[in-house]
Amino acid sequence: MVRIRSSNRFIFIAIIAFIGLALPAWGENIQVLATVDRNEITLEDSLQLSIIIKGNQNTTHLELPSLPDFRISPSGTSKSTQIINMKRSTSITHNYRLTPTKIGQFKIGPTHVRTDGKTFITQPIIIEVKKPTEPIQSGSRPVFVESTISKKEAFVGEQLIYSFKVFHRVEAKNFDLNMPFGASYFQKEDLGKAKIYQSVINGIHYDVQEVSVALFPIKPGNAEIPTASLEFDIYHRTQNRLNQGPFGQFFNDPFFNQSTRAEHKILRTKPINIDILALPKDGKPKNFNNTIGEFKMVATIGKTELEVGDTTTLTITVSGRGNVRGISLPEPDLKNSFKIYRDQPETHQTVVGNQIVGKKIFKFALVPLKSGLINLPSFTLSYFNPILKDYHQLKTQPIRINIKPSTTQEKLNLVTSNLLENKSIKPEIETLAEDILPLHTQLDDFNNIKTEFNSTTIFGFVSPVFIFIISALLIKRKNRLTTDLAFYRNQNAYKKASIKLKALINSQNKDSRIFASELSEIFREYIGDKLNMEGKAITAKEVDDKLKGSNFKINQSENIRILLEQFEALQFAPNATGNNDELLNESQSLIENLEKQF
Amino acid sequence: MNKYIIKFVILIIVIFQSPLGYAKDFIAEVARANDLYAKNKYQEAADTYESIRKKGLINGYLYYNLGNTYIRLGKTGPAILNYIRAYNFIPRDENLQANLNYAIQQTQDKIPLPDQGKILTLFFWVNDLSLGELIKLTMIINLLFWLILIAWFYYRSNTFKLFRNLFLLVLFFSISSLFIKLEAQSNSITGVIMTKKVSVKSSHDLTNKTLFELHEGGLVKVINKHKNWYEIRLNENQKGWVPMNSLGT
Repeated sequence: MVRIRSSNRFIFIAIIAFIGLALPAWGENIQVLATVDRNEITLEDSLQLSIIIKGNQNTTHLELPSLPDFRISPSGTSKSTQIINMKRSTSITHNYRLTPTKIGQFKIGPTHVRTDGKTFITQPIIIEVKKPTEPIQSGSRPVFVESTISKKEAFVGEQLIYSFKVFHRVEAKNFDLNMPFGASYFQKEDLGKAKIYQSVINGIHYDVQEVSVALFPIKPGNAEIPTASLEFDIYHRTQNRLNQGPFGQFFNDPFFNQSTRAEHKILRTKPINIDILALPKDGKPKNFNNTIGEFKMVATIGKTELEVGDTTTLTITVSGRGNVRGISLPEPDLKNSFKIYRDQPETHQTVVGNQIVGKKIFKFALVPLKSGLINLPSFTLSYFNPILKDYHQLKTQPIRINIKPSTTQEKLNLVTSNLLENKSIKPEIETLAEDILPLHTQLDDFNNIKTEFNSTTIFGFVSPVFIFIISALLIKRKNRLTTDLAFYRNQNAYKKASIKLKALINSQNKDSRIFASELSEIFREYIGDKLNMEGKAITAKEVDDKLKGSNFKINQSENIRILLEQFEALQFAPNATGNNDELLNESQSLIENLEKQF
Repeated sequence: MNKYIIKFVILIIVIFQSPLGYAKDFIAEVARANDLYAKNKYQEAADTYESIRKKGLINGYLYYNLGNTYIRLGKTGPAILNYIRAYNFIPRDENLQANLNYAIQQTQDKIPLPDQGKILTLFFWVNDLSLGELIKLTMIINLLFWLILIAWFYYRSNTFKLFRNLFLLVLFFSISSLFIKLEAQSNSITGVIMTKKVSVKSSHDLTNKTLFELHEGGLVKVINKHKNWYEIRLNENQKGWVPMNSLGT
């Protein structure tokens, strides 16, 4: 029997549960429902339409009915899975926000849902949209809107200020303003961002947000500025009943996570009718060019004294209240005296007291063609003053310019338009002649480089290889000396024997028995190191056997054996005597010979 | 052991010492030729430079000075030929490049230097180094590579292994560059028209049809040789044969 450990059991259950949740609810019937959160609303409210699909969370297609009297906006989808008494049920809900645009009774038709290969149809829902209740006074409502126009009667081209204000004394967010202005009758000019200020109405404090635009009527008639609508969410603070004790007030503070409830609202203003009047025909100047407002005009000249071919700028500034952007001025008639280059006019507009105030600057670059005293003619501008309901004409002061003959001989180019810009062009340095560069006179540079590949080159390429081979062998030897004991003994045997022999020669002990013993030990040790054997106790036979196994010369093997026997005889025979020097020479000679062969 | 080291050092000194001081004998003659040039005695200067060259001095600046002298004598063909010879030894010399361009501009055909080929575009540094410089560079890299190999053999560390591989790669490029340079110098020969005008024939015989004409100082690629004739290529479409005595290489 397999035992499952407690931790493994938990994982097993979790996997089963996960698979159970992930799998579709087999055998569960699919149901499709359409519900609304309320059937009766005012024009200021919105309702939520929910399409609930039970038994399947995969919707392949959903078709809402036609709702021309509502604005529809999706507000999310939620999925739900429940297991009650081991019975699993799933559902998916598609939510829509419906905002009414009319008063009356409306039917939300059936919604078609295609899921699991079948089409389901929901039941229709009846909705009643009522007129919002009129407040007795403004202060009784938490939020209200109003729109205003600066004048109900205006001339064509006259500036009107259309403002939309929202007053709220509760927390309101997510403003969405729809502010049509009647584009068939008006031309619009924005007046910047919304103004935020506070206002007190009937003793009640309101936060106000105001959006204004300037409207310029473009044709006479009875124009209507349509309804403006504002959608937003009001946040209602809900009190927690548990906190209604002695400390309730304290804990109802937002700091302690007081909950809020959002309510979606839509407020509309009333349409505004404006009577647009045509401009009077009487007294209309010939040069009138639909300039309406209140203006001033000033003309200035850069230089009043200049030479022929020199340049100066004539500036005409028209400033005042009204749509300055539309003002135009003709080019001055100076073609016989000046060459004229017209600049693009500059317009500067600002909003002062909900009115567009601005100025338009016209600039003309004048290049005199002939010398003498020249009077620039006055510029005139006709405009209609809607306050005085009359036409007016502005005229600039005449300007006198003294033009002197040119002091430079340079011919005036009357065709080139960018006359002033030519000053920045640098003169090109002319090449007068070309020649070769000089001889090379650094005598040290005249080395002979006759043979590129010579012995030096070959040596240079090959020598590093030899250096490497030698180094590699030395390194290998060094490494072997540290790891291979037999090799180390072999390599150091001669050196060691030589040192010991030298010490023996220098010693004062001349007793032949002891001398033979010490010499025997040196010799045996040498042989032992060379053959990687225990040297001190080595016998002549052992050495003979070992050497026969190698390519050692037989006569040397014989010499070793004789010498070892000689050592033994001198050490252990009671009456044996020997010549120390002779024995030493014999030993040294044999070691040197052996060293050549090993 | 010490004896071997001493012998080795002496050998190196002898081998390396041989090319040094080789040109000392020519310096006085070069100075004299330079002096003749400075005194506007161009023909004598050219003769002196040529005699130095014939005696065996091979040097980029000698060719450069000879080129300048021929320019002064109005002989653009020999001038360009000597500048091209100088280019093999002092390829980065700005004066040489300027004078070569100037000389080409003086010719009637104004043919630029022939294209060196795709491989030299890839190994772009080869054009900026002379053969001698490339040999020295390769020798140094070769020495460094073997020394690093010894160090790696001794220490067996990853750092030396990295350097070993790096220098092996550099050595490969260096040796490749050397072979490319040798190949370019031996097979891609640039010829200069030395006569006032030369008829380029369809084959190596004067009776053959003249394909086109070239003038003194014209630059061509020599692609073949047959008896006293060179086969030359001007561009992809134009090639032919010219007599050997009309072309300098």
